[in-house]
Amino acid sequence: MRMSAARAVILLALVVTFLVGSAYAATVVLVNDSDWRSAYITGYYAAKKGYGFMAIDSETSAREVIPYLLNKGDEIIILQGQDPVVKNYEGYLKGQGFANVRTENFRSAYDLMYSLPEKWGLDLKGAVLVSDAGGEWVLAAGPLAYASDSYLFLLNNRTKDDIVSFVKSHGLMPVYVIGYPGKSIALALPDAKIIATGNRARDAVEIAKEMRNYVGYSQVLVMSGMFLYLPSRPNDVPMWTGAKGTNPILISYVNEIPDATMDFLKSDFVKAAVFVGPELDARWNEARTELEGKKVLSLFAVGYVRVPTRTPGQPYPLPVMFLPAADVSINVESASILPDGRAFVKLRNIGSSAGYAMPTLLSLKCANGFTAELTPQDVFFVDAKDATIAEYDFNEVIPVGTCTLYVEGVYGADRDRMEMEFNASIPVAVQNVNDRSKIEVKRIVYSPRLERFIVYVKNVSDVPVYVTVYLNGVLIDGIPTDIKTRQSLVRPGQTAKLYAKAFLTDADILDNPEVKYVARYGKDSGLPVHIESGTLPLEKETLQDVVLEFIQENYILVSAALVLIILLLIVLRKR
Amino acid sequence: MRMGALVLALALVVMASAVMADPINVDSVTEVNTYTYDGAASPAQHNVNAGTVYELNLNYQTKTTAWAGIFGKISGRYVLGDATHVMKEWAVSEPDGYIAIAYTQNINWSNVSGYSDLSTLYSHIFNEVSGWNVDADQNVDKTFESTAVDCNAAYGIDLASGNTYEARVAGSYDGTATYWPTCVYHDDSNHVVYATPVGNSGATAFNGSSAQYEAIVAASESGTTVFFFKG
Repeated sequence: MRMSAARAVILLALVVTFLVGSAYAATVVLVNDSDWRSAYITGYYAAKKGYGFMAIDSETSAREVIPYLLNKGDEIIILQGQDPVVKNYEGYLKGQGFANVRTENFRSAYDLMYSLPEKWGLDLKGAVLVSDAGGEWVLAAGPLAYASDSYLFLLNNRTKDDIVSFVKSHGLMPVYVIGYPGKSIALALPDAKIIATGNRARDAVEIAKEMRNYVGYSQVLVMSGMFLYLPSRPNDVPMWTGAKGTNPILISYVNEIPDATMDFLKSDFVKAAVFVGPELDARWNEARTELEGKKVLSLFAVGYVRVPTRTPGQPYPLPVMFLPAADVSINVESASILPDGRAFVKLRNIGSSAGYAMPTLLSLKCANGFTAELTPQDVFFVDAKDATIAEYDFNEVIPVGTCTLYVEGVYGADRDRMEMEFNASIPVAVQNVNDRSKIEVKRIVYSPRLERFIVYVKNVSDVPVYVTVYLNGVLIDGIPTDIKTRQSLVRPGQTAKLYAKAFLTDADILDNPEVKYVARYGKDSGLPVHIESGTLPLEKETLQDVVLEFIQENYILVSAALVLIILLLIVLRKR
Repeated sequence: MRMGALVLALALVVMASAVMADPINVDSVTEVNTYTYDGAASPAQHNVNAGTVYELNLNYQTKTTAWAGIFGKISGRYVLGDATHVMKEWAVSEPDGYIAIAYTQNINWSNVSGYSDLSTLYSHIFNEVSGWNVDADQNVDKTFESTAVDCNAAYGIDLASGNTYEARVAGSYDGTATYWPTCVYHDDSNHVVYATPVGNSGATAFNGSSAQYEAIVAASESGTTVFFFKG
């Protein structure tokens, strides 16, 4: 028996000898763009087309790993975005001996949603429209899109009109809308199935249930939604296709498995679950205990054998791009305490995505023996690369002196998942503040040109003042949204324009005839001891506003031009 | 030591001296891809095939490019990062079950089987490992020599019931045995899976160093990617 097996093996080896010389040349699409959306969209359509796919996550892997995983005979198409990770990667690969390489440039990932399926001749029937505000949604949407043979669109207030128009004109069916509760989509696509429960883990479960209509799967993937795990070899389909639509993707948080996810994992038809990424190592351990009788594995690392720049076989972190949930990083920057009991804690987000923070303990210990403690539960929005000042009240008089304020709390990309922790001990001097600053909020204008709110704030006091304005409950496609400006310094007597980024359509502007505002300000940047709140009509920027702004910002140039025109007129008249 | 049955020949070629500079703080993992034996001084070891003879103080060398021995530790801190973001660091705990190694992330674990013949294993590896080049002396039958092994009963690898093929690499997975097993499986898409029990505190790799896992996998000369799973 064993002899015959050995003979068969040797025979096969001989066949191989003939085959090895004629290696199969494949087409590999290589994305070179810092925006995860580009990798996400391209990877999906490349899998649909049957092309190999990789994305450059860093300069290091571009030079030290990827060239060793590509075959010299492959046709390599570099899709290069506006913000490439590596410049002139085509030149680099050619220098490494890859002859069949070319670069195709694109403007944005949103363009790829339309151009790739057309260029690659994909015949797709349905459409999955997924909000790109959360990684959880985009990961969960991929397998459903693949299984339902659909276009995959990244949905937001800016892209929705074009997507709706495309879906209608192509008669796509079925249509799924995931994670986006905007009213305009429901009106424009009445037959669409909308999955937006208000909880991202539950949304993923609803998607997994929907997938049962297409494929009788028995395995699910579980991901944190924080990272887009990229293929580590060109012929592996991206994980966000769910192994070509056969494995739905569920969501687990780093600190706990949501009930909706665990309940679904316990379903009889789920025979295996793969937790992806080292961030879920502890959750995998928990699940394999809880899910007795099922196969529960953890994909935690990748290894390279005979890649000269990598230690052979060593487990390396899987290559990733950061999704919004991983791209929030909040810490305590400073704190101030007033003798009247008020405390101001400045929370800074150094990440590139907006997030939420909830300080859960403020413990004050002073040199004079005074102690006080608060266990608040208020959640604060902290925009990307911005700071928010959280205000508290110990409700007792605090003696003037030196103290230490210990702050700890949690944060995350969404109110639902604040799983990351922060803490800091901040030295503070408790002292009275004589703050006579005073401001008035004069106008709130929306500029479609700038895609920003412009809040006009006048400093009516005689001291410089730091101001932040919060616009609460602005309706964007029917969704109440909180928006804030960055903190700005306004000089005495000056009227300053504070900007808050948002994309509103004309319909949105009509939906918000008035806007509620809260301005927090003070003469010290970390001590916004004053509040001014109210409601103002929302104005749309006019041509007059634009002209006035231009004149104000370029008055020397404008004055010079006017003088020249007048002189010219005088000269012409004399002639 | 019984030739070809108990111990797979692995000789150390590349020692992982670059670990300090690596992005994760795990112990060294070493590829072993050279097989060494002394035909004159040790006639009993002449049958040199990929991973079948282990002997030091030898004067004749042959190289295998078809297989790679890998071993080391997998627990530690893993840093996830990309070109533009603040890196995030995560701890992976000490393993206690088994480590599965595959060429693709997309294994269907709900339908994994053992191998009942080596020609199927050969064709599966050939299809998955681009450019895999193996000669008769290094072929699968010379590497996965132990048959009829129930790796679940023997090592607690519960990927499939029943028997499969097993390779035995020099070392000790439990501090007592004189080998470290690599069991081999496939899923319903013919993806190959290698699985090896996690070593206990007395476990040693082929060179006597402590290790959490050790396995032998097929690899091409030009570079192969593998994925690590904990089970």
